[in-house]
Amino acid sequence: MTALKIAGLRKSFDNNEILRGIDMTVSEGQVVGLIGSSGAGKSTLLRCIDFLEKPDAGAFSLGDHTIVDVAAATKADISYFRRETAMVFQSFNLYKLKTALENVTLALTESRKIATKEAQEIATEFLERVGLSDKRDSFPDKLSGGQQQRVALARAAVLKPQVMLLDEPTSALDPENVGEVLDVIRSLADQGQSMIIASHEMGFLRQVADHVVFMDHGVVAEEGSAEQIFLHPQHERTQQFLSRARV
Amino acid sequence: MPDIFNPGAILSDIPAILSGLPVTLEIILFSAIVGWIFGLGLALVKMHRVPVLYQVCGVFVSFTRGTPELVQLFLAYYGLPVIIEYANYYWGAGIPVRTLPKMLFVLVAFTNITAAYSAESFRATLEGVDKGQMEAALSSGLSRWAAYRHIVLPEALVVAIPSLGSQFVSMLKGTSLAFVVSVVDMTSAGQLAASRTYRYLEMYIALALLYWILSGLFSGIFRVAEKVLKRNERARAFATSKLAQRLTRLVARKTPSVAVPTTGLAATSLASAGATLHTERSL
Repeated sequence: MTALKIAGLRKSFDNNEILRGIDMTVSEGQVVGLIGSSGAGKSTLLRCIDFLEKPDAGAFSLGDHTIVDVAAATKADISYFRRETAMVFQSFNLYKLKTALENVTLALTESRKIATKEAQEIATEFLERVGLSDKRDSFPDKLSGGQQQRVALARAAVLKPQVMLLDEPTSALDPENVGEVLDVIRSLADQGQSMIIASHEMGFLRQVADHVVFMDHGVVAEEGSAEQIFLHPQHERTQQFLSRARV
Repeated sequence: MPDIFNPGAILSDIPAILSGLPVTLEIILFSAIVGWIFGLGLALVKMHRVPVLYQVCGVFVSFTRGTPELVQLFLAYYGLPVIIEYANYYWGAGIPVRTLPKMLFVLVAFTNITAAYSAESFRATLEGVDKGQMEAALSSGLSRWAAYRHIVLPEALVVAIPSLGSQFVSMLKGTSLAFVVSVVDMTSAGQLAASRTYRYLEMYIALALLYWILSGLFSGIFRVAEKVLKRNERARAFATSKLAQRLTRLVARKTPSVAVPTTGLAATSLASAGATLHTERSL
């Protein structure tokens, strides 16, 4: 079953074309690794799916909802995509004036209209899953980077999104915090959560990703299974990128 | 000794001046609350560059900030009746112009001024809120309005409060201009009292002291409000308050004769902040 399908996605900033016709498919339960050098368009791609950037052209379909022309997406289209996907940001973006628990609860009560008490129970369960139930009443500025990102992962996972979008989730972390965050992502993947992970953690993607997409200058230069891409890259740019990334 | 200056008159003028306090409070509280709501609206219009409204708001803010309060007051005083007369003439609104309460002009003028000044504070602080906060809220499915209400506005308010507070205090002093359209606020009430006794200096000393106290009181309220809104730091104050309490007790035990004015005060205020936090948690 296809969860997310992207066809011909284009996006420019001013006269600079960042995405030049992206085609991509995420199957249900699949983990797609998105690799490529900085500026290749990985972030922009993820942000377009969530309409945090307005795409210029292309078609999306998520579950049974299709947008034929994303440039003309209606409010209802946008809100469907935002509700049915969940984003995890490089800089965590936890709500500063809310506790860890409130961070996880907010969208449940405000967007999903779940009663406060029930929402808190669900949120507590997800904080437990990321190993932070003892930090439920802590504010983000009292948490380490790794803990903040784990709360952010709980905040995204609690919405049970059809596809989770992870935008370099470990790039802003101290090296000693990377492991705990990757563990949480791995366990979400093991539970069958579909996701796209843009990351520079090649070793991790090799273990976790079912499918790897290499982006270069706004196009998908090469894609395939993790083994194919990491062990037998065909495209010259992929070989160059990986040989540098391994150093 | 000649009876040139009578300190006793300062005290005896206070009740007369205080009879104008409710009016002063009415002007300042009404114009602050309504003005802030307008100011927030103006800020959002400016931020989102709503066509037409954006230009109109820009002119309004720049005009209001660029003209003296006294002139604003007279503009409302002479201008509003003219507008109402026209409304009566063209749409048959039938509003009696002669019996309009004088207070209305004062409220309109001061609400405008508060709106114009607070608009700039709101805009600056709203733009200062990390864009990622809004993006996180939107991407989790919240509407733009819900994201503003739950996330962006509270964060902006924390930063805006000190400047809103100083605007409020300077506006409080500005309300003393209300006497020019014969609204009996504290200043007018004092002038009336002094016109009977001719002890103007004593009355103005009493008046000055009362404004001073009032300003201090409101500054304090804004400081408390800021602390209350800074939820994340309040949690920290709770942790330090226990320590502060213990320290105070220790000092008090060792030197029983010496009062511990500063640390003691700090500890009690912190402890009470901690207590409110505690009750809130347990709810």
